[in-house]
Amino acid sequence: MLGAIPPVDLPTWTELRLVMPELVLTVGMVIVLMGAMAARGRPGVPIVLAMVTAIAGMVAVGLTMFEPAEAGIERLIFHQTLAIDPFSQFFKLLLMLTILLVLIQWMGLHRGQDDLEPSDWPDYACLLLGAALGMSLLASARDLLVVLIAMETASLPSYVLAGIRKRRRLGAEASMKFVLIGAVATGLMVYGMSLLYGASGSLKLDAIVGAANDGITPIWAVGMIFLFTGFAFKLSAVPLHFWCPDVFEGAPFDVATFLSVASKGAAVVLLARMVDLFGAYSGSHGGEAGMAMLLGVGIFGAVTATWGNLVALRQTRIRRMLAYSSIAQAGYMIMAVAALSVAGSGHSAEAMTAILFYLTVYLFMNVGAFTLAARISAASGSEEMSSMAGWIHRRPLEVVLLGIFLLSLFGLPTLGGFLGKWYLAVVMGRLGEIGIALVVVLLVNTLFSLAFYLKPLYHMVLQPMPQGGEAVASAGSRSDHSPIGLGVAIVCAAGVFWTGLDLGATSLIRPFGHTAGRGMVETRGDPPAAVQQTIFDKDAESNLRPSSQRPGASLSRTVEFTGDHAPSGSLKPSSVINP
Amino acid sequence: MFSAQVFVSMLVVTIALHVILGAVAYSVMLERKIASWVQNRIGPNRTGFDFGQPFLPKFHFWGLGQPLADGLKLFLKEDYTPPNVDKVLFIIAPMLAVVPALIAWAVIPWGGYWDFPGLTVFGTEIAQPGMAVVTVAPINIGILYFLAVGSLAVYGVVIGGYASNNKYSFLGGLRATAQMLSYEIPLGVSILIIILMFGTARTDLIVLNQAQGILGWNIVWMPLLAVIFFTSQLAEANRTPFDLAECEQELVGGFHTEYSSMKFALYFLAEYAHIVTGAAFFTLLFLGGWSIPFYVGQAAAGGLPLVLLNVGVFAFKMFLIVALVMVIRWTIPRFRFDQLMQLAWRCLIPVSLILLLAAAVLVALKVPAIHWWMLGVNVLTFIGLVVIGPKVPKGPPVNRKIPLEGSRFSPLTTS
Amino acid sequence: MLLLHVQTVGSSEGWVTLVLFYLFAALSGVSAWALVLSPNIIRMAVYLMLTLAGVAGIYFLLGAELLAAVQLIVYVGGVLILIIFGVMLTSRNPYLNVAPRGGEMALGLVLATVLAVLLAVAVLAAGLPEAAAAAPDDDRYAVRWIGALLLSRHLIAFEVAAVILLIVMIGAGYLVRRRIKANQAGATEGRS
Repeated sequence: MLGAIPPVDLPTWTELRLVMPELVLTVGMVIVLMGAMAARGRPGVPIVLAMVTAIAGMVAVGLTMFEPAEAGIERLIFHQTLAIDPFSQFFKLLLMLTILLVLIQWMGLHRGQDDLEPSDWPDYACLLLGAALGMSLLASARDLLVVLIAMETASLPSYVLAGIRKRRRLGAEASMKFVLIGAVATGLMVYGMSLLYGASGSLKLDAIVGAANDGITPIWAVGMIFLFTGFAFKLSAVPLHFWCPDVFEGAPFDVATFLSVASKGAAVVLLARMVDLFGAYSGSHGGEAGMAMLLGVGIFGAVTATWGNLVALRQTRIRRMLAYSSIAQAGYMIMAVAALSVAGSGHSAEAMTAILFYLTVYLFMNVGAFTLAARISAASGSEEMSSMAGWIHRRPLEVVLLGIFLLSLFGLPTLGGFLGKWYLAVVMGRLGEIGIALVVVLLVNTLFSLAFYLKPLYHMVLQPMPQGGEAVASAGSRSDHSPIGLGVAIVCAAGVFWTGLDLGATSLIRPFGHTAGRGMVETRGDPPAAVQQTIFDKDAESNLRPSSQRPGASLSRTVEFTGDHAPSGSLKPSSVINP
Repeated sequence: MFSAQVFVSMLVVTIALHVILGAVAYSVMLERKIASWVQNRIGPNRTGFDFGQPFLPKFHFWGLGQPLADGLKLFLKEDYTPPNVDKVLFIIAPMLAVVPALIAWAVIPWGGYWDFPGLTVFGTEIAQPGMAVVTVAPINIGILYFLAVGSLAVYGVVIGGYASNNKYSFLGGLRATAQMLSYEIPLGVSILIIILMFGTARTDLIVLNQAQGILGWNIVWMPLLAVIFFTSQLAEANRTPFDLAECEQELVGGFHTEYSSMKFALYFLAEYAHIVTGAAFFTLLFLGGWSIPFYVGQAAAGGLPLVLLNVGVFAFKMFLIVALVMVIRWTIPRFRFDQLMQLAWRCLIPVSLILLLAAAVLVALKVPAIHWWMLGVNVLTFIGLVVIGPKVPKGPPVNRKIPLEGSRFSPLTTS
Repeated sequence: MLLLHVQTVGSSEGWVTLVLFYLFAALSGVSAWALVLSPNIIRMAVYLMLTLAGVAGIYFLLGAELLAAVQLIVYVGGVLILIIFGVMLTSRNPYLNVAPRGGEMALGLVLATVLAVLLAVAVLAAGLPEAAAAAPDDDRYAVRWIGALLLSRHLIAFEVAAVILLIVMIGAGYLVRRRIKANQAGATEGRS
């Protein structure tokens, strides 16, 4: 009478093991809440628990990281909605590190200040972990639904974090702007997703990319533009960058650090995954979509970088300057992502490596710069750069460290930023004329950015200390002397030098880019019976064969469906969804 | 040519609409009668069908003409629209109140399955023979439709309260919103449990699953759930003890203070239609719908006599529920607003979630004799409530006296 | 009530579907325009409710009953009523008229026109495949199947949605708690 209920397949142990980092974050959130309840009166407990969660997350990532690398395959799990590959796992490692550093930075900045009451600390830790969960899923997303959900998981806590400071108008304003722009961007993105689903009949990213097989249709193009609008919001790329400086100014420094590193990093990884699929597709089908994507993403990145740098020059407050600088840095990374869109260039692995390398360096530079900016502006009682005149005499160590980070952001040789930009430029340079143009943009931008990166240093080192500066300095808040923040800065400086002098950094990072998942094009048809997974190893093809004879048959790499159910026909949801 | 189902559906629409509107009118009469019995009075018993006209036969019919006279009165009253109201919304609001209460009937399976013989008039086949559910819309989502439409009901009250441009109406609207939003949750969860247990959301199948004499009925196996559903349904219909949106001691008339004549009558109609709808859904979810108590071998489908019998059984159960609702109105005093909220958020919602969890686990484990298990869970939860309930830490005192300067609670400034 | 028939009716009463479709489309369209042009926020909410209800009706016509029910339960019965509640509870003057200024209006018009043209071109040129007529008992639209899909194919999205709710609850709790504390602080200041 009731009929047979369709089978529901439970996740396999392998799948659960591969999403361990996400599970650790989720469980960590619950433990932080429980711990806060259990240890009333000891407000430090939830923060410590959150740090433990971050470390446990690192261990979990480490356990899953090398597994796919051994086999050299990307693992598609949970009915191909998540991709676990070294590329995403490396980002997750960076993410956990960011949480740890941000929490330590927070301890240095907030202890003893009245921004947050001790009873609010568990909320803060939970929101941080929740946002990190969304970002880590974003890095692995391979399905529009997961992209949307992960984007929301990353955004919603960020809205609260942006306005977490009590009794401050700036915080409320930041949160409000963030919410409104975020809502518009998400709305547009969902609209785009619906158009893409209509155009391709599938939620899978590869099927959507493959839907441009018969030429790009207008509906597909509009959907893609809307989808990228959503990405642009997370990246704070130029059409949707307004929120970035306001939020960074209204939020506490640690939240600004977290958003500038983790949020943008996750969006870059997602963008790279998406564009990489285009690369695989363009390798086999003549490359109309790939070329369009190269141009589109390239221009997108170039405009973002240029605009960020131009506006940064006009800033007088150090925090807004850093915000615009982070917009420009995101622009550089987007420009490198464009390189992934053309398979023929044959170096998608190198581009992935370059992006991962830059992300690593960027993590160190930005966390360090934000930490020191927070300390110095807390001590001087103002964020105006002119009010920090002559600080080299008072806090020589901090000013020197800040100088290192700013010069690394600019790209001075022997510092990490230089090598990162160098790799980006190498990757872009191989793209032909467009690539050369991108390199020129990168170069000009870099030179130009020197002007504003030197501005705070100019004030601190060369300007004389104003009269009465002593009084101002002693009136600074208590937190600016804590050694914790300085410790973070020194660790970051070490990171910058480590990457800059390349003491094994490149060889450490390279495997993650090289074995990262590359293209997989799912042909449209009647899945799952007729699902044909055609995999192109772009490197092998481009190196070994002339591009004219590039059949889709060179299956040098296989995709493994973890779990025993993915391609089988027992439950046919895909035939339900794809009419 | 209509298929059997379409023809039966159209028949049900036509009949049910009229019968139920009549029933609503007479439930007002029933209300007044029950009120008077509870208060040891006699109640309306004079108005017959002569309307004071000398040429009509004078017979009182036990006061059965009263609803007609009431309706006539409401028609003839002045339809007054106060100045400074939001006119568009003021007019739309009563309609918004009535429509959801009326269209929720669409999924109620009144009389089981009709083995429809077909209809041919003068050689033209109007309806084909076939099996049909005696309902308006045998749709897949069935009971979810009830939730969907029920969630629209709050608009009439809120918009009416807002559009009246009157503080008391406004407060009534606010109260109604908070109340209905809160009580929709236990309502939805208890429906979810039923869906989970039977593996279907179709109303006719839910009834069919219970149609095994009284031992098949859900109220026997899930009494606690039935209480939760009934309570939430009362609150959704804005009935005492949950009628804070219109409590006359505090808010004059609440959201309908400014309404008169037929607009007021629409609100009136909506309230009683809600009661009848709620009773119908309680019947179908917990009282086995058309199934006859203590008679196990009831045929699921049959000809017209069986269908009429089924409809009669269904209607009788509904009548009992409506009467219960009315007795409650005249016996139980009204809650205070914070008590109302606490009842929902600190009692009904947690308890219904516990039951949902238990049902999900039982269904997932595919235990045999799941009904017995569910009964055990219900009883255990109830015992747990009784034992643990008083020990749960109380919330902050909501109704505390604030020592405002100059008030009688502040001894400092008394002069 | 007739609308519920449509998916049981089949093709012989196709005109009913057509009439109902235009009815719902007109309801959605007209109330959407009214929503944009209305200056009063509560009226906007009511028009939005009508728009959403019209869209739900179209879902019914398409045989996607669960989607229609969810649209009504979540958007009309949940989100929108919360918006109204929030406005009525917090606004100092809920009868306020908010009319856009000329510049804003012009900008909005330009943006909307561009968007409309873009979408119209995209959709008209798309040549979407004609949807197969939805049979009433088609398994594709059964609640059960959607449930099975959520628990197998879209498991990750489904589970993470639960985590989102937890996070949002924590965040909302934090914000609300802040408000109460600020009020208490203000109250004590006022008293002293």
